[in-house]
Amino acid sequence: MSEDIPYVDRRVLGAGTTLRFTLLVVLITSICIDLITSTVGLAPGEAQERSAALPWVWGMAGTAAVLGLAFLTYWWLPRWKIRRGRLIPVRDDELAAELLRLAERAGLARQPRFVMDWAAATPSAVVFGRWRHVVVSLHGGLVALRPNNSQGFADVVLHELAHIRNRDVDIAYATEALWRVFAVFVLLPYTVISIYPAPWRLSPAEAFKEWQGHWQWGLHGLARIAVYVVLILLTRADVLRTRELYADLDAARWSGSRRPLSPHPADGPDKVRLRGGLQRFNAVWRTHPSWTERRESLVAPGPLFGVRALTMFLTGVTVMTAVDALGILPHASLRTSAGVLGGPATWVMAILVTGIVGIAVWRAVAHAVLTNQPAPSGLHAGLWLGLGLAVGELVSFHAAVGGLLFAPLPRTPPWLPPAPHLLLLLVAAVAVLTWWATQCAELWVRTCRGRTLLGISLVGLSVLLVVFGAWFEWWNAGGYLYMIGAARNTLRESGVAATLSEMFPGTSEQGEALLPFVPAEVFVVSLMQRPMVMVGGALLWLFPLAAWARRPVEGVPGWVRRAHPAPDGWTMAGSHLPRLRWVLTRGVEGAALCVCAVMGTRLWLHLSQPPSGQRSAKWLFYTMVWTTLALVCAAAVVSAAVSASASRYRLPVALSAAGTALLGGLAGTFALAATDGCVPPLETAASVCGWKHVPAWVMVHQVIGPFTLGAGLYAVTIAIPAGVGGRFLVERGGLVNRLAGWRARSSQAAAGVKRLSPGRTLALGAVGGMGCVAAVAGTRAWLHTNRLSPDQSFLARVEDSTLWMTLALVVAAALTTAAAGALTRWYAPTAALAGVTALLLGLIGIFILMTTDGCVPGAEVLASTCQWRPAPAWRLFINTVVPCVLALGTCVTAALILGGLTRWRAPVERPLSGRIAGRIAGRTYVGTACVITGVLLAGWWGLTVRTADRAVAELPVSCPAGSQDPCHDLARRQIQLWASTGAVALLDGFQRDYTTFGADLLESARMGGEINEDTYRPLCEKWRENGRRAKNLPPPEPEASKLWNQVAEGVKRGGETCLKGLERRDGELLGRGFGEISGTHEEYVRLLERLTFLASD
Amino acid sequence: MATVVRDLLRGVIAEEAPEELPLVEGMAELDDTQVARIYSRRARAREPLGYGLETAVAMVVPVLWLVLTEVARNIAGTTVDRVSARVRQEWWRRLTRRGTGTPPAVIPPLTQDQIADVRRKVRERSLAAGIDEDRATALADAVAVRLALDTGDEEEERDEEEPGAG
Repeated sequence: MSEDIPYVDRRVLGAGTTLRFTLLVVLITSICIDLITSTVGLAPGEAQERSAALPWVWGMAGTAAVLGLAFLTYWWLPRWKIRRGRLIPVRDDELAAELLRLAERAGLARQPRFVMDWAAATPSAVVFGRWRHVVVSLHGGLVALRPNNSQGFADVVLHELAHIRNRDVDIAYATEALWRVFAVFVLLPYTVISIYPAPWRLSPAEAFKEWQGHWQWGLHGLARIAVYVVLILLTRADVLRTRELYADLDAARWSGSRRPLSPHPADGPDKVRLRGGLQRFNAVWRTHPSWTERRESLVAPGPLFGVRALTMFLTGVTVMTAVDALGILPHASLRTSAGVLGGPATWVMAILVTGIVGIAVWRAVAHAVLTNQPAPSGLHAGLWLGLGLAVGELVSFHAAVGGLLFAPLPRTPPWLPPAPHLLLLLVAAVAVLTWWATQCAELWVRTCRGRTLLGISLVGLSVLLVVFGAWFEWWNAGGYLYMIGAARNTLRESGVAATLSEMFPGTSEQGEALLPFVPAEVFVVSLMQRPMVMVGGALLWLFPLAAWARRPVEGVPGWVRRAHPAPDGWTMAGSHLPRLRWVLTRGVEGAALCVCAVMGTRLWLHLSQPPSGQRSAKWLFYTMVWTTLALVCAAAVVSAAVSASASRYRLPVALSAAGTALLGGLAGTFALAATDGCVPPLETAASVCGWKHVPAWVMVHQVIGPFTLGAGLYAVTIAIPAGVGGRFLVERGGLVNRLAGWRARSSQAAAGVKRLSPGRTLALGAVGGMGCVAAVAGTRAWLHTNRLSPDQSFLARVEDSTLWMTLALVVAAALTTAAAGALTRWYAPTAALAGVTALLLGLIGIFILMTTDGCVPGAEVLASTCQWRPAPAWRLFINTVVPCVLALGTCVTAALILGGLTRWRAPVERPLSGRIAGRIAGRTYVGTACVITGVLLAGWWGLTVRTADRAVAELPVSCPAGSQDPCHDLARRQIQLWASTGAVALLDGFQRDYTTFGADLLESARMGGEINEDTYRPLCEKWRENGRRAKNLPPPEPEASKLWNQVAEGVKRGGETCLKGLERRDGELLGRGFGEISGTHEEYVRLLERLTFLASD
Repeated sequence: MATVVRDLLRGVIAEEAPEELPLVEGMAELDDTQVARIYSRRARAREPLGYGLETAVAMVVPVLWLVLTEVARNIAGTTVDRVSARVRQEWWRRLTRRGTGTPPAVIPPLTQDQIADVRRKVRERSLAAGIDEDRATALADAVAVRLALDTGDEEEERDEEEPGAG
């Protein structure tokens, strides 16, 4: 570390060691509960019978006793130390006066008690004690040293006083007391019982025999103890080492000396420097850092602000071990989901982890900004934390032993879970999240104008808590089960697909195709119960985005003034934020991609959609799942591309762009769903064209929106390293130089683009148009020979031909645009004009071909005879081809033009805009994004939390005993009984009739508006009757019953209106009847969800 | 007249190493056995919040204490108790938290050879403890002078008594 780095005030942010001490205490306590509870199971005779029912109560009581003993030890420790060490008070007046002066210099509110350990020959001192009774013990060697080296004496005493000032004494000795009591009263007996099980029952010979038979299990138990001891000692030593460095730093600040009293002068050869691996190994067990480290950290305290790999690793292992140990408790269990938000204990552990990691990251970033050093990436720290979590998961043998729940007990215990490689996912996810947290911290620190970083760091830590905690809670509640093969299969069998197949019999191509994509049905189910995952996902992009809404930093911010030794000469070096416009432009392009992806998905879904009238709720579910997947995939591509093109803040920038793209994509999805049926090739659920905003809003608001903007962003985040890695590979492969050369050439060319005259452009467009017509004609020939068959209905042939002709036209027009762009060296207006000309000519060509259908042998599509039919061709053209071309063409052309205009240049980094207009625009966008996301998440929240809460509130108070979850069982049985009385048939009938009616209505509208009474009357009568019948068959649950009645009433009324319309031959009245029925769709969807919830296990 | 080891020690320290006087005062409240036990205790384990320096500085008090008590024991011919009795006494003392009640160690008047022997021991032990040569010699001389003075006083008193008796 260079000496040029300024000596930053270490109190710029808290050190976070108190949280690490707390984590240690939590670890010891949780292990204590675990070990006592498991030992109680071995208790002899009556005690065993008594304790078998509630072993964890004994565990809690035993732990309380251990804590009580630890408190007594802590309370008596100072007195015992003084008596045992024969320590005497300082009686020398001069010495006492000097000590008083030093205590005043340290700013202590209360004077400690000074004693002397006269027999200790080391020039050292030690501080111990308890709350308000702190004792500083001076060694004889130090007292003897004082006349000759008063500076060294002051250094040592001030170091101890710094421990008091930093409040290390209480927590260090409380932890020490707990550890000692735990070791003597819990660990030791447990070890004895592991070696010699049940000494009250077995003779030594019998015990030996038992041990021979089950020695592997005994070894398993001993290995666990060894892991606990190693973990506690290492964590304790690591925290204490950090405290020593801080005490040194404070002592140096008070005394003004940066050279501590040490065994070897700093300028001499350093014998303490660690060389070999063995010495490094020894060093991690010591409670004091090496003298080299202590001296270096006084000269350059940078490492104190850094994120230490060992600390991260130990934090990870400790947290996982504590989580596993606490899993023995029934209700506060971490390993089972306790309600919608997860177990409270999980969140306590998440708070500790995010506190420790977050503070370390924010400190490192703040120091880097203050000293104008490059900020750490956070990836390294995250990798170590993830590795720690993975190792913790392995050494607690949790998943390994947990797998036994699904299999018979083997003779030898498993040491590894069946699928340990899945832990790499854990490591990668934690690494990326820490990386994200670090980059967000840098964004916010660089834009901080306040006097202190405390406020924004607390906001940052809270956000990290939600983002990490949601994910961590999911992992501990069910994610870890993926490592258990048998469990995975069991869970899959009871997953979403099984439930859906049971509820909605029948299958479809898309449903089958979905299965390999979603091996994680359980994942989906567990996510559906966790709105916090949704909130966490939303914060992943909104939190960094909000940094752009801040006012620009002018001059030296207050927090820098307080922490920097020479603030007046300070200027913020390093990179600024990329411009928001750049990020949003990427987002808009991404939105175009998202809409294209959704359209593509709808085209594909349309190809094999069930016939009109058979589109069940299951089909709707698949539609929504595929749309969600398409959006998330497109956003992942956008984020990977943006992260590859950004030079800094890759994660925040990529996520902000991906979030923006998703917002745009969702708007497009809403529009497509609301106009479902208007563009025949894109039709998936509805068959009638119209503005169906209610069902579209339900889909986007309650399912697609929350999933993409919430949980989907976690998936998008995982894609970002692909972009960064790709860029790295390209750079390493030398491709980047070639790319840069190409870019330079193209930017030179851009200065003098080759403009074509309008005439030439139109000529180019005409050539392209001819190409379009040729492509369409070729497609028609292909359709005639390969695709269309006389067995198909007229409607099916219309849809098929429209889809393929449109695709051919749009591809040809896009190629024309690209060719024109290449010829003019990417002069956008020329390219666009040529593209539009080609498209228009192509459309004219299509119309002519449709009008003359049947005249060209080998290219007949709909007609078989040659005849001039302008009127029906025009109707078909306007109703099918034009909407299709407009939708597809707009999308592709927009993507082409935007891509050509911006060409994914790297962002311009500069300070936040001082212009008020720019700032207002930025803030407006950020605010709008937050509000929209909030509204979308509220839909999901309302659906899950409210429904779950009501279900819990409405369940009967007394439930039959003997079942694991009797109340839910009861409700489920009631619903199943009700369903078997014909309710399911009614529901299915409603869905089927609804879609048939819609399709028929469309058909009749196409055939000139003729209403066939024979088709509609039975349907309308059926609806009226079914509505009446349904009102007498409400489900046995208030919420579902209310929804059921609303739907039944709407259907009955719709049926009556429809009949009236038929009687009066009034198409409008008929449509209104259908509208009344479709108006109940929202309630219908909620009813289905409610019933699914009630009927599920 | 016999010399009390503590008095001799205090005198030498006050003269040669006054910075260590607080340490001599520290042992005033303890009897000799307790002091010997504390000195013979194993090195202190590293305390959690200690400063962390483990290298001992060269100190005079422990060296002198150990040499002088050894001399007192050897020359005065202290009887050695049976081990079991000593262990029993020790436990009883610990239980009752009392001092051992042993009288302070004394060095009887020594011959010139004995004084020379003590001087040599002090010097050797001091050098072994890391005290530099000049200081070790000065310490050994101070001890020898005090022992010689005490012996001289004794002889003078005896000379004064003999004529009177005669």
